[in-house]
Amino acid sequence: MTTSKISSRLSRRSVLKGGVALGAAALAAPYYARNAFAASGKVRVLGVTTCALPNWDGFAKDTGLEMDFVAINSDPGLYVQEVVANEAGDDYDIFIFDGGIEDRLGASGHFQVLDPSAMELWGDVSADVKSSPLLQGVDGAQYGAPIVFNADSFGYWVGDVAAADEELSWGMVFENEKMLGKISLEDTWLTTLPNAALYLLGKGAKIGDPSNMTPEEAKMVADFLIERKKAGQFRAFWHSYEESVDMLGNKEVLIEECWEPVVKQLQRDGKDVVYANCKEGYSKWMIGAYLPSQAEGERLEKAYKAIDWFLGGDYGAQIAVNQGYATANPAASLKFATDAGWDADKIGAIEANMAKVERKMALPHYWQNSSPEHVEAIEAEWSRFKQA
Amino acid sequence: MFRPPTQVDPKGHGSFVLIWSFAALLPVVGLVLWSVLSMQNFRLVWEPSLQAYYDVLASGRWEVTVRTLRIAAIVTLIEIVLAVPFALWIAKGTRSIAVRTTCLGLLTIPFFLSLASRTIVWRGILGLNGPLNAVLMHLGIVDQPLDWLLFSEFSVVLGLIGPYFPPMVFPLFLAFALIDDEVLEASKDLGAPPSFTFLHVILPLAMPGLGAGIVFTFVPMIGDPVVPALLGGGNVIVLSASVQSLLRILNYTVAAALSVLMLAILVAIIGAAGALSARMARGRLA
Amino acid sequence: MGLNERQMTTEDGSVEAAAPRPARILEVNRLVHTFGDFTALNDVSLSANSREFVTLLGPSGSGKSTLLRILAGLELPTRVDALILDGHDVADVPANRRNVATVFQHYGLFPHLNVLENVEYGLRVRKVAKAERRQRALRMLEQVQLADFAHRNIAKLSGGQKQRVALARSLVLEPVILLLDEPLGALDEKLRIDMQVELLQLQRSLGMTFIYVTHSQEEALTMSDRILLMNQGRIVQEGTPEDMFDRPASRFAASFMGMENMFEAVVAEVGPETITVTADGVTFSGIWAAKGAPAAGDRVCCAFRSEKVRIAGDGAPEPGLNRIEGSLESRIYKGKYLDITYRTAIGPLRMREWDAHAVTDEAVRIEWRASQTILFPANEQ
Repeated sequence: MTTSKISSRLSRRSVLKGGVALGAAALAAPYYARNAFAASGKVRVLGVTTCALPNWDGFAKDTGLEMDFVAINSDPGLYVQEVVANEAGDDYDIFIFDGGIEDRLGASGHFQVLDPSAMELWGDVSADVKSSPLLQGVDGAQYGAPIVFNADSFGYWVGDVAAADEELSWGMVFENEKMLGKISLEDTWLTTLPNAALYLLGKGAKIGDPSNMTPEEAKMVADFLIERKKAGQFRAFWHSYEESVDMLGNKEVLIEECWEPVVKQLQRDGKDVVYANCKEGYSKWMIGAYLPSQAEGERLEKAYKAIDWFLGGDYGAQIAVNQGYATANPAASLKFATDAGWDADKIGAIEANMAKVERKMALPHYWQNSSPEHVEAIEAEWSRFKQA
Repeated sequence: MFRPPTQVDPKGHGSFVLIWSFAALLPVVGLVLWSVLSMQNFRLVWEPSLQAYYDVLASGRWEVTVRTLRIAAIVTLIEIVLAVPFALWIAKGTRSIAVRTTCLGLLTIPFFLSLASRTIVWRGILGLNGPLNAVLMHLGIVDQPLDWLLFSEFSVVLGLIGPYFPPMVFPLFLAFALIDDEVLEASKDLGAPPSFTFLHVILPLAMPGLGAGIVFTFVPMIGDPVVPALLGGGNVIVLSASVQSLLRILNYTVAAALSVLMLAILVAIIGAAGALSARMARGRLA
Repeated sequence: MGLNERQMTTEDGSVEAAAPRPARILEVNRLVHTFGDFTALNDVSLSANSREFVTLLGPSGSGKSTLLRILAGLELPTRVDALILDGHDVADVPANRRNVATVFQHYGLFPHLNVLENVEYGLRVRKVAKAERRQRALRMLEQVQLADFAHRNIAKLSGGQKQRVALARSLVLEPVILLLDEPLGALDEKLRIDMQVELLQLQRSLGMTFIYVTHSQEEALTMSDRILLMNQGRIVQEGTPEDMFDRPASRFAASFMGMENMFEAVVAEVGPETITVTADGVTFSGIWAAKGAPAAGDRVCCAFRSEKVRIAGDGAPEPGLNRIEGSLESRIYKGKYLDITYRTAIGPLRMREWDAHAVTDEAVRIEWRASQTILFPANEQ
């Protein structure tokens, strides 16, 4: 099941929309306007909002194509609904979805395997990134191209918790007697269970893959979390970006398992919070571009041309500056920014971002897997923890 | 109770029932069906199974039904206690049409804002560093900020009171307004103090309004995801959140089983309430 | 019945009540009631005796219903010197602690209770034991001939039956006074006349004081021991039905009591019995209905009923008759009678003629009795 990975992303992608993610919408898929197939100059993308740029002038200039980006909520239920039930592949040339969905929609024949030779920049993408299980099907076929990715940890208040650059254990979040009731977690099994598993792994527990646990392993992690919950460790669970910003920002909690932009935003507001460097590793996620199986001929050519552009420096530079996320080809981003004569601040930000990504990716980590084999059991264990 | 209009064409009646069956009952039938099927590769397959019900019970997920019903019942009771005097005052206590219109109008103002933005305000007020805790500490009532004010069942109940006040007030107001003033004066004239008149005349005559008020608050509250999500801080898991979590992983069968369980409990409660009130009615007439 | 019970406690077993209520059961002195700027009752004083049937008669807006509500305690007076009920000043006592009962215009029956439960209601308030209150309610229902309807739903009763339930519900409490607010207004004419008789019989048999509000002079005349005529928040005249019918003392009273012929005149001579007046050169005699006595030269108003007018014979007028010449102006067929208007020197005069054949001539002399001609000051409403 691919879908679940996306669930946590749901809120992440909805950052711009704000408000609470209402899961009930999952089944009520919007029926996007489907016109007859586009005039030749247009590329139609159905993608999550985070990956969109404020304007696509660079894309038009470089490719000679017009970008038609239709936003979709980050929700695996929605993806399946659109692609399978509504046959969105008839109308869109590219899907940009949370990685992991290809395990399901690739296997079912809704996505086609990428042809690396069709993309000029494919060779420049590091093998580590390309081979992420979030882009490849269970059979190892390459369905997705990397668009943006990052490695997540937790944010904390410097004075109250630890120094800014200290290397910290996930134990700060999960087993911290000094911070009882001062910690909040993301309200999803997708990140929180594997992060707890990473911590237990570091303590010597026997867990194979934190992002693809067996029911027994999941039960062990849930039992540990329940024990910590009963000890009063966790103040609350957040569901949306704004909520996580508020909770940490108002000092409702001092430590928060969260996304990096949360910390960025609080820092901009002058709050003394930092994003933790983790001893045990990180929770990595990725958003990929996928080709519908219906795309062929001229459509396919245009689609590859577009993906190639996403792998290039223009897109990467903009994302690095705007979001602080990693992209496929950071060196190209830096080169683009330098060649384009961007100011020193922006170039500095791109460089800092590159260094950060390199450091994080060098550490042990797991790829957030929205479709672990035993997703039902894992979700049920999570539910047991939440009920406790 | 309204008597059905007698001039309605029975055939029209029939087609109404038919449409209602399709619109309301079909989804329920579908839900029950889903709950006893199996899922393979995110598709429902025709393999009858009670696994979904087993999963609901084994994971302790069934507890959300109890918690959801408890919260809805507590809030409904609070709404009754608050709305009855308020609605009575608007309907009978004030002679001024301007006051009445203003009060009813003010009740609609919350609907101009989204439920989420209204609810989020409580966050700031109830938080550890919020004004309420500041006042309590300043007054020396507590020396540590109270953490149960927020992200607790308390905050969820508190947050639900506001949004579900109008749907309790309006039907009660209508019911009270429909009571003939002369009937109330007759009661007073016959020697009844206000409390007696309230219990023996106003309340019985307002029963349809109270029933409607309960339906309009209790039932939607069972499905309300917003307030528990915003004020429960993930600590108060209600039905909607649990179903939502299941739908995210496309676990339709367990989601359906959980919903069917809730539906069964509701039907049982309504049935029991119906039987009870019928018995009470017989008791009165006997 | 309250009366029966009181009779039973009588020491000497006489038919009279053992502890007779004071003869003056109600006394209201100088009552003023205002709604904002509007003065609904202006300096009203009245009284009622035990077993009396008093009617508050007046057009709508005259304040009669407000007065009744104040007597019931449903409205507390703005200002009153004294409001004595059965020997106690109850000016500040609300309805539920005042021993009066009201029969409302639309009966005010409890729609969720059946007939018996409605009648029992006041006893339930008074915590009368269930068996006893049931017995008393049933006895009361028998009295109003509704015993068979005890378990009937209120909605299934006719207007007259509802009326009786309302009566029974009030009477079962043995109030000192029963207040009735246009109780027959919602009934059709035939039923209304039956109910008038029944109400009167009930009042007599119970020996109870009734204060009855109506705008119908016919109802007031039929039923009352005494009528208080109200207009614009004041009691303008009071007296027996005969007094009110024959000697209204103001323009308002005369016209409300149905005196169709009214004109102004000047007093010529004040005699011991009758007073002679002139109008447009014509001389008439009449009796003084208002207080005091007029002096020669005063402007007065002269009124008489159209049914007292008849066509005069050829001979000289008998003493005590007023006579004038007139010509036929119009006649209106009313079934049982004709309403005829004659043009005369003092203006149009109306005559009610029961014998249609009598009216043929265009020019006639008409006459009416001086004793049936009333005079009152012209400058008062």
